[in-house]
Amino acid sequence: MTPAPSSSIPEFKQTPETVFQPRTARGFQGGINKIVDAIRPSLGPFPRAVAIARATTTRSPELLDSGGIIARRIISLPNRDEDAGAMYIRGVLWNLHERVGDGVATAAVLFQTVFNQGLKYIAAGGSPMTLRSYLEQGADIIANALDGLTQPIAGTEALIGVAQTVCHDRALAEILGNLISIVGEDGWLEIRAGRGRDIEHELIAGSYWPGALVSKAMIYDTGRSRTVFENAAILITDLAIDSPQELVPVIQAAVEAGASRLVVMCSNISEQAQAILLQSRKSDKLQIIGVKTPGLRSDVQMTSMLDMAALMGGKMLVKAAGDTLTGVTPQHFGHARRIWANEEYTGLVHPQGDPKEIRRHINTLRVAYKNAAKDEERQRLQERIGKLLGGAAAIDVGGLTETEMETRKELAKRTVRTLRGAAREGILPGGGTALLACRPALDELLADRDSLDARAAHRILTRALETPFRTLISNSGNSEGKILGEMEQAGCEVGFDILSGRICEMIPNGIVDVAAVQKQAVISAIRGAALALTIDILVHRKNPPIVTEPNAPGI
Amino acid sequence: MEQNQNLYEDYIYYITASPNFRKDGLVCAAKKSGLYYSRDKGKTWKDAYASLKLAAPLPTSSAAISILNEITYVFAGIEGKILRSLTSGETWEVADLDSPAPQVTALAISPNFAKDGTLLAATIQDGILRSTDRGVNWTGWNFGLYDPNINALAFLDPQIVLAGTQSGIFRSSNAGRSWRDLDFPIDFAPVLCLAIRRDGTIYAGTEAEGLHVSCDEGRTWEQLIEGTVEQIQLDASGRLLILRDGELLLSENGGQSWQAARPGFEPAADISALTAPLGLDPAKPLLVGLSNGEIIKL
Repeated sequence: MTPAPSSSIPEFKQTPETVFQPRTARGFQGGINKIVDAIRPSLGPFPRAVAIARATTTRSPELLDSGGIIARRIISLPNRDEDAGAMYIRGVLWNLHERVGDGVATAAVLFQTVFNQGLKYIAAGGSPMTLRSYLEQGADIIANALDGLTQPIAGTEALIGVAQTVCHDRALAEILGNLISIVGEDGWLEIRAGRGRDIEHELIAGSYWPGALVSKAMIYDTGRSRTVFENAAILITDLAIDSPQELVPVIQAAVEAGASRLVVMCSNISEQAQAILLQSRKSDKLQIIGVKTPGLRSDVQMTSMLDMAALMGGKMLVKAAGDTLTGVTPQHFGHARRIWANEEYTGLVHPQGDPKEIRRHINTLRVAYKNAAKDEERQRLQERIGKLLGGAAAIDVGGLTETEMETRKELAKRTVRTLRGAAREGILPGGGTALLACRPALDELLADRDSLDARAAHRILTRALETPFRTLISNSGNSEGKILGEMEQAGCEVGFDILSGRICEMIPNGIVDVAAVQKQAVISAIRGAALALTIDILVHRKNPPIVTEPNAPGI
Repeated sequence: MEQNQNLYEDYIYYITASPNFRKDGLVCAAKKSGLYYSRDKGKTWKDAYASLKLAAPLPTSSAAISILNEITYVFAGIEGKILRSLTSGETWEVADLDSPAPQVTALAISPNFAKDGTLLAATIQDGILRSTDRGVNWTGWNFGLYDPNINALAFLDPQIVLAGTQSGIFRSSNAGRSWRDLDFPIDFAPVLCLAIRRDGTIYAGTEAEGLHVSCDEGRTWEQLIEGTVEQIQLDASGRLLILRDGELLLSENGGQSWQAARPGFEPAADISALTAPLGLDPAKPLLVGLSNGEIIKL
């Protein structure tokens, strides 16, 4: 297996070739099995690490226990037929990881069972297309059954339990569970690189953006290295202020508005214009500071301005719209009970915009979030909604080495994403028991009793639903058959607690899975495997490009 | 009907009764001129701030009473401060709130005050302040509360509390540490008052769109009556009393039909506050505060 390169990509000199059955199926199966076998040890509360060599030889192998990252790091297999299968499942798994942040190991073992069992059936004369149709019906039936088992997450302890299942780090799980219970599933939680060994966190009133004071000389509170204005008038623009004369209408409008504090948020202020603002520091009538409009890119700057204007009220002045500072009136100013700025950020506490307009603006963004196709877009919208809701949490993740710190930071981000999913869409009994409980629902597939393909799909999916549980037990070093037998005697409400080694109720004991993750894992795995079963021919190209970013197959 | 004329002619923002009203007869009225208390079920009233020897009236916008270990706690909200008395209003301690000075509009005491010591204070412009040490220290807790203009607060249980605001209704499921907006129709806001039954049924009185009810934790709402609904009172028997367009209306069937709560009562000024300390049975007392400062026992 070839790990992802950091500096160089090996060159493959290959000839074009068309591959037919049964070689196609054998190759695909080999590649899929290799990827899944690499990910399989990461399933469960005792994940075993997978060491992946780095492209550069100077550093030690990368130790991974996240199925999604393991899949991503394997970018090619030496056998071209196997490589096609491996890259196929890699795309399915990475797409799942991008969408929900977890569930990759569960999806991998489900995929493998469906694919391998499906191949056997097709080899015995089954129809791939009809089987695919029944498998996809089965995926929907399981998803519906999972919906029926889903419970809303209640309380901080449950959130900590979910966090623990993702990050396997009690200290991190407690902090993240607590913070998500405070900021909420849509709230803003910033994960930063810490300076020490430990994890530190803080809760911040209001919202803040990366817009610094234009000059250090505008710091009024030198002890806390920041300036705080109460009940200030705030002008938002992406215009640059080049001459002191341009400030005159702004100051006149602020005086007319009766403001005693003024914040000018603009893309830049020249040194001559800054001098005017600095002189105001001694004034008891109108004190003025300048801060930079947040955002380096114009689209980010515009969305930040839109959000701030929604929160504070007033009318922003936009360069692209031809606005200038000459026509500034009191109606252009937004207002906040408190605004603070330092050398990095500008923050608002209790902005005074029309609350109904703020709510409409947030609702618009929530709809856009639901409809967003790309993960990057969803993340940007998530951050904007979080800032609008008000109140933020920040975590500084430390570590003994930079590698440890970066690994923990990524883990924290992944855990937060899962927690948000849990808070939004609820939880399921963990330890693979929710999937086991879906088996009876598959009887719906047997409505057409004469269809051999339907019966095959029923058998394949029933077995697949047991695979995550069996893998968890096997990874923990226990005997799967014995425990499954004991559980079936104990009733359908229980599962096996790997940590304590006893059979118990899952949710009351904090053993949970995120409903959205499990559902998506099932759908991705079954639909992905069902489609793979219909592939008959492989076409290899001459010198194919190596793609480090996984592509999702068209499922 | 008893009328008490021994009062300042000033606006009454809030009237609240002791949880032990039947025995101690304590009731407080928050008024433009200060806080007043009665220990005889509203017959006679005294200036609760007398011990402060104030040079000028101290407008008081909200009040709350709780009893713990036989100590009567009285809280009063004024501009920029919350006052606390452990002597039924005879002496006071002052808690300063963060600048800029918030205007406290409502105080709500946790149903589990004896154990958690939690109180919430609603403000106009500054969101919700929270105390977990029985009112000694107060901190803003506004995660998710993007509308800081709070008109009303109501606890369902020690964890679940609702806030009625200019833009709708927010719900906290962790005793006011964080908030989520409910699907209350935006065009029906502002929400002026709230009440929650033990079964979770929520009643919301609005400025112009009447009284609304939700039986599914705020996901869907049904309008029960039109108009401006400024006050809601519930009792354990299922009765519902509202102040709608200046009229006191009573419903015995969850808001499906209404009747005059006190037929023949014609107040000399607008009704601005009310409390029913012993429930909403027409035979039990109802204390009504008027905009001219009068408090009437019906």
